[in-house]
Amino acid sequence: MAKRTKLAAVVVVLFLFASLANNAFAQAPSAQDIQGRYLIEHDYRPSSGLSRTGWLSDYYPELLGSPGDSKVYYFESAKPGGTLFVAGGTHANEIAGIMATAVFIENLNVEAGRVIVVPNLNNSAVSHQEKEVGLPAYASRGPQWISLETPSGTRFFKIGSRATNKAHQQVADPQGGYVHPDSNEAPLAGWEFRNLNRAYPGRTDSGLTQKIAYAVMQLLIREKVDVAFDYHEADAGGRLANMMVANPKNIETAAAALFDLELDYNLSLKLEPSNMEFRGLSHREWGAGTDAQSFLTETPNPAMVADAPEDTDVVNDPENPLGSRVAKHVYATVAVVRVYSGEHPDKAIVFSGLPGFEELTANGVGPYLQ
Amino acid sequence: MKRFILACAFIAALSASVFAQQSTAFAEKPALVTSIGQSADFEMIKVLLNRAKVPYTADSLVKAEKLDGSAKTLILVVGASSKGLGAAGISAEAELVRTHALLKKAKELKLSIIVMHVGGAARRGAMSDSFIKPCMEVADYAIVVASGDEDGLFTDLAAKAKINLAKVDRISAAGTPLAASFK
Ligand SMILES: [Zn+2]
Repeated sequence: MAKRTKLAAVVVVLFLFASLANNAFAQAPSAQDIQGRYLIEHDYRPSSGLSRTGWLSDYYPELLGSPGDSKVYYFESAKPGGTLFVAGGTHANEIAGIMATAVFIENLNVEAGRVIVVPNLNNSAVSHQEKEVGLPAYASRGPQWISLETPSGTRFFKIGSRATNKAHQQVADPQGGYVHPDSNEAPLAGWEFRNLNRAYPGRTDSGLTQKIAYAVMQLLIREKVDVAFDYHEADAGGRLANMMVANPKNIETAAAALFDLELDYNLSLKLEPSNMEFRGLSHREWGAGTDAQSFLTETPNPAMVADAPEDTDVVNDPENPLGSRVAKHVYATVAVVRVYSGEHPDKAIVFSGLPGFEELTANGVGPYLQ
Repeated sequence: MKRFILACAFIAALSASVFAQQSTAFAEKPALVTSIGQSADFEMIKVLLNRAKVPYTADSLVKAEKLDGSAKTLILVVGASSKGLGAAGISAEAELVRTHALLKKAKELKLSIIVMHVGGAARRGAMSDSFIKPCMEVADYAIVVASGDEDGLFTDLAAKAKINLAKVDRISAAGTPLAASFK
């Protein structure tokens, strides 16, 4: 009962804020559908290329009605081909990843194969920005919402935390730290139990984070995903920023794509293979547990620098504005898909409609949303 | 002042390209490419070789015993990655031992040796430098991304070894001097 009250309180607070921040939310559908699936009515407005929407819970019904359920967008061509999966919001504070998926959702026209998009892979993490003891400050820093000027007016997108909401996890953080069930490494901090990108391939007998991870794996398997991307951000200037991490089985695809990015867009990204000893990360486990070639991209987020101020502007940063970060995710994916399609003509994935790399970088994301 | 900087940049770029063109084709095919330091730059060089249509075999952990003279040119992709070393299950010390043995055998077999350092500043530092130095001593040619030579280490080592050094501004530009070095 107590848990339920707490959950309701979270919902109420979110919607109070939402309605204050944007009266467009007042016109949005009610907070929950008949199965109670939304905590947040995310404002994504799909292109006419959308075939249908579904839910993560379609792949693991126990998520139905839970704050870990999340909407899945399918863009399917009549022409057969391969399947691309792109996800943002594994870490809900890494807004460029979320907005990169929004650019796909709102512009995509698929000409061969399929594209499946999940903008908020951890939909519980986006529901809070709790300053937890032990959780690094950068993990929940930044504004609660960003606003973008779009052709249809000002629109708002939610920022959350790196970790699943404690109120939703159902199982307490392990005392003595989190150890992935298949890991031989030293324990991580206890809150990492609620880090979706330490939870794969997930499990059904544990916390909500582990169940989300399990559902994502089932999606990749059941949809026979060929190429999978997980969009992240890292501290600007740090080792991870501007990097593509690739599962070792598909690192040659990544290397070829990174060349094309340099040649075509003057964009240089670093390359690293997954460390196969370090368990639970998407690029490692998606690649090992499914047929998908798996990739993760990291862009430089100014709010994730260790001592960045709490009110860091994550949209209009002079060095790394949102549009430039989103362009990196989108075009890293485009480059990988081109290499993959060239090598697998029977499983080609062809799409159009996306804004150009230079345009996104120069003009920001807003003009390219509905 | 701006004009002066521009002029300097122009001269620097010019001299870099002159350097690059200086090397006449000296290397014989096929090549064997290996990693010295286990960074993913190795994968990038494989793509370069594919696109330049240079026949090669690739073995990131090749040992001296495996060199039998079938490959005529040894390409060393130099730069340390502690993550890569960890993933390969090899310590930096063991990697250095492998490197010294490999270089000794390559010299005995009179292979041409090309050093490639394409990771820029991120592939510099104490561990990377410990790999770079022995490789540059025996190299016939070196191709480096300029941001890895901001302190002039490669310039100095190339001068000491009396070899040509091609400096390029990015990895994708390393293909031209690499392809040009093969007969
Ligand atoms: Zn992340």
